[in-house]
Amino acid sequence: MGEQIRVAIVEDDLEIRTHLAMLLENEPEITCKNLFHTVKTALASLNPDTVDVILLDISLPGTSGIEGIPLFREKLPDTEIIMLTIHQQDQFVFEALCAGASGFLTKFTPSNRIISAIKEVHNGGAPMSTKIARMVVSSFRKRTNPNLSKREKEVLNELCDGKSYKMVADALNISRDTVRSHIRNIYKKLEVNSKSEAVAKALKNRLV
Amino acid sequence: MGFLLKFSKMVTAFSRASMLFLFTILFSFVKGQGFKIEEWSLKDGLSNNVVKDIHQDKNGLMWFATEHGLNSFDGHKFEVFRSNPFDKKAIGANFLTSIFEDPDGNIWAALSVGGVSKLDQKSKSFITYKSKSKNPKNREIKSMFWDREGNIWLGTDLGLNFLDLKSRQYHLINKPFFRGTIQEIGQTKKDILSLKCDQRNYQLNWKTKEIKEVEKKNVPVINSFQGISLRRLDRENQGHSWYVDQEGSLYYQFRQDSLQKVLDHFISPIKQQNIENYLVDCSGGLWLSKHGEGLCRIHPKIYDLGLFNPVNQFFASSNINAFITAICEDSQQNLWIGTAKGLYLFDSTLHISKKINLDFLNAIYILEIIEDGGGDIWIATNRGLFKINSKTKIKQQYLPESGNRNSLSSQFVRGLYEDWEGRLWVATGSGLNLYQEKTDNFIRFYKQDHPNSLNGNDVRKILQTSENEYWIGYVRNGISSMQFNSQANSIKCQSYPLENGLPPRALVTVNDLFLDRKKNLWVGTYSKGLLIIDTIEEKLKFPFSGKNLIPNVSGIMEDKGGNLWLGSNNGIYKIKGGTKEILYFGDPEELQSRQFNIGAFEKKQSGHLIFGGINGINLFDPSSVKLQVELNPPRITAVYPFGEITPSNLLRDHEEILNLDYKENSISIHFISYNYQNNKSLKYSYKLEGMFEDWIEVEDQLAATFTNLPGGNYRFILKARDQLGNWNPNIAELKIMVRPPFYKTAFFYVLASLMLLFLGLLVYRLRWYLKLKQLKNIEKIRERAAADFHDELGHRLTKISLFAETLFSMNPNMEQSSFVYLSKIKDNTAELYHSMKDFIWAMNPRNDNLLELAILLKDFGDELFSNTEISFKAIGIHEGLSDIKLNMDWKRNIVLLFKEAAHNALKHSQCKELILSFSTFNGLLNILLKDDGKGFLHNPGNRGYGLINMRERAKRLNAELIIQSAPEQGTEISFSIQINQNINKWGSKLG
Repeated sequence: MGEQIRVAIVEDDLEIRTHLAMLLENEPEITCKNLFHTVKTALASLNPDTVDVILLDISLPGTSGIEGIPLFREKLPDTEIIMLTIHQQDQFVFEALCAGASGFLTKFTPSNRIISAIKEVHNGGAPMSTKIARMVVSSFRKRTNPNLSKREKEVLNELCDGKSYKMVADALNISRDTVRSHIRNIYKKLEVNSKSEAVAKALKNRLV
Repeated sequence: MGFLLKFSKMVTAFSRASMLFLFTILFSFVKGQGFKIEEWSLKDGLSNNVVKDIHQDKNGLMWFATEHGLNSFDGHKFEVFRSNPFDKKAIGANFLTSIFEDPDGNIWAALSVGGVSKLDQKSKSFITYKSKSKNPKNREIKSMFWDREGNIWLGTDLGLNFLDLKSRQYHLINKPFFRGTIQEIGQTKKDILSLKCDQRNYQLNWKTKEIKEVEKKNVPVINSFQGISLRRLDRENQGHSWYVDQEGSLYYQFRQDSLQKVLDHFISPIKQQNIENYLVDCSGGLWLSKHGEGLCRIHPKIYDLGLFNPVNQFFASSNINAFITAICEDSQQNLWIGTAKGLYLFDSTLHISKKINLDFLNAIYILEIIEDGGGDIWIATNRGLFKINSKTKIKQQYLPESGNRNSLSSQFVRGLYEDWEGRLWVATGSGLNLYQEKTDNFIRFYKQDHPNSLNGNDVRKILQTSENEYWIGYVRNGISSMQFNSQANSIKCQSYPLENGLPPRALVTVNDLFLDRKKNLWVGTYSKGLLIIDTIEEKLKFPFSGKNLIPNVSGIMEDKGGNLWLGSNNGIYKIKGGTKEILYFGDPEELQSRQFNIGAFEKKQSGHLIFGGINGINLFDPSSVKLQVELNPPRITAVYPFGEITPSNLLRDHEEILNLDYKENSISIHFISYNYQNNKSLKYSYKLEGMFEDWIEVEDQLAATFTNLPGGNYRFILKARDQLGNWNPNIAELKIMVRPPFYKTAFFYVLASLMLLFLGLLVYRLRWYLKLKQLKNIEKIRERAAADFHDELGHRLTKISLFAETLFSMNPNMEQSSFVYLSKIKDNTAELYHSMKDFIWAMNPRNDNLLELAILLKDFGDELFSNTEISFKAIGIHEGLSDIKLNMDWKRNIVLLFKEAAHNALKHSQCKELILSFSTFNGLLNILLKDDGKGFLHNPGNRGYGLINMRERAKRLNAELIIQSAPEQGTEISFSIQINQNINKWGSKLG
């Protein structure tokens, strides 16, 4: 934890890429030296011991950011991925989360917020807005075997009701961190589910 | 005119069963009495010349049983039924004895070999019934009877039989035992039959088996008339009765009219037991079978044109050529008749009085004879004008005298006329003359060059129709009207042209002029037939729609009934008064000949009309030419599909409507009126209602053909007319329904229109759907364009913000003023960015409900206060909020309002806790933002908090905004708005 958080940026706009990197560099706890403009180049250069958090743009030439998430997760399983986008479009958000992203930010976010998000994600947190929570819930509802634990379900429901993390914690008599880790788990399960779903879908398609 | 005399031998031998009789035919005698005989035999289609029985069925059709076959006869042709051993449906045998008719109208023919065959009308097939008993005496059937209970009884030489339809046999009734020839069977009461057996009468109750003899008063068939005892030949039918006397002479009587002797020695005065061999049919004709020679029918003529009159008899017996050229009845009712061989005078009883010599050469052609007012007889001849003084009887001849301008203008005198003033006009071949009584000479009028003179000099007829209106008919010069100035003895003429513009005078030769009681002026012409003068248009016209229906008219007369009678070179015509109906009498047997001569016409004072021609005269009472016989009503006999080789009759009995399939829409309707005399003069008239509006008249054809009738309902009506022009009051009617092909039925139309409607709806919806799709596409494109734009905008704004931040991080110690502006850049950029985001959010139709709005505000709050000291929570958010719909206006304004309020709280409140709550109550939505900060003072000066904006927004939405704030008491912003949803569906959850 004393180390700097190593952040990589995959963004196709030169100025945004460089300026953002510069702003992050100014933050003592973060170092941002790896800049890529495509998923391909990023995948080629990055490896688990060179990066902790990836800021991944959605709209990229070639492989899109969302398509790239599983690739990154495969190669760099312990690396957190924060999606960057112009707009917080729900569809993308959910897809990204299902694919394995840990968080979501708009590019317009002031740098200090980006920095705190990076820190939070690195510390195991997972930002989830009510909106996302509802989507997650409905996604899980569609599954025949919702394999969320009882606690996780409770957390999810509280979130759906619009409670903040603090409120959820108060309501369930758990700490905020516990809430966060529950959410992480939920995301993970979402990813797994999504993956398995995707596989099943692929299989189905192949059969067809 | 000659007389045919025929004598046939009397045949003495005949068997008891046979019905031989003979008669002597005196054609002339028969004719003279107004009767006619028609005959039919093998050569006419009768199956055999020995006719054993004659029968007329209830429709009027004649049936004849012969020694070889059964015949039906409709007046035109015979239909023959013979037996065929290979055909079970044929008649049982050929040698037939009697015909019977059952109540349904089916014909039963008794077979000589035994048994009876019934002809089924519909199927035209026979069923034969045989005697169960083998006794040969039981074979021949003498009588048949259908009782009221439906039983069928037969009488044979052995006794009474009962017919069993199922077994096709008839068996003797043995109980009670009763034997004899049953001649008649009748019914008195239920179950009681009356029998005539061997001339005795019995009553039999066949149920109780009782039989008893009864006295029956035979209806006397002997009448007595003028001392002659007569025996009626057959039942009286429609007023027609036929009798024979003891000498065998035949008599006829119509109703109460006088009895007429028809033939002498008609039937041999031997037994006439078997009455079946005579038949008086319903038209009054007497049918007889002539042994071995077929059939004949005697009937009174419908009309008699008086061919047999004493005048004709005189000429015939005197061997004088009866070429009649002029007729005149004088005031003593003597008849002056001019012929090619002289002038004859007949007295009022039409017996010859004398012949009058006019000149020694006897080569005078008499053209006209009239009697003037003084009783003198004037005779126009080709050798001058003669006058016979009524008192002195002196004859005087007028001839043209050369040099005497007041003599007759020409010796060829064509016509004579005494006008209303008693002046005698004389028409000659060369000038019109007016006789001057005082001076016993003439004033001549010739054609002159001016238009008001005579058309020509060859004048034939003069007629005066009013005070000063005369008419002149010329030979080959048409007609002119004339005015006579008696003072000046001058005439003024005007020529009348023929209507179609032909030169008026050319070719029109006037034969006669006649003014009828209705003041119609008729002109009989040589080649233009009958014309009528139209005084208004001053033309000669054809009275029958421009058609020339009677080519040649030699004379015109009017009878007491107002009907016109015309003589022509083709017979006699009658035009029914006031109509255009023309009746034609051209039967050479009724006329002296077909040619009637100009001038040989006279109407007697009695009203009788005389027509003279080349072979005598016809003299008759026109009112007697009337109907004595009613036509059988016309019947529709069959309907055949048109064009088929072996057509079958589509018409079934007792069917109200003939239903035809569309394929059968070409049909031939056959009809006939059973008529056995003057068939050729019958006229039929039919109309197909629903298709044609006109009546079509036919004479010879007995079928009406219609092709390609479109689907629909029709009514075929038919009527028949006899020679005298009387329409039979019965009308035959057939209703026809042609089923339209499927594609023309109402059902189809309904179906088709429904389908069309459906199709139309489909098309409409399709178009609507396509339009919607198109709109959606456009919308999508617009959305995408907007999205692209916003992306681009967001992209740029991000960059600007980044640049500003970079600038700041590069110069952390920049001047305050620079920093301020840098901050402004950042702030404005941020505002723009957020504003854009909100706009996009509001645009999204998915975000049209309160829940989405609440979530937005909550997420916004979470984010805004995430790394601050302020604890933000939102309460009252639940699924139920999604039922409340918000429009774009609301969305935008509420979002901006509360974002503003949240920013305020962040910047100024220094609060520890901020609560955003949503609640609904009684149709009111309330959003509350409450903080526990330091509050602020309400005063107009507090502009920085954007309160005015907030109030504006609330006002725009017609919502209530209550801001409560006081120092140290925190701030509460309450927003309330009326919502239209039914909120009782759910309660509000207050967290």
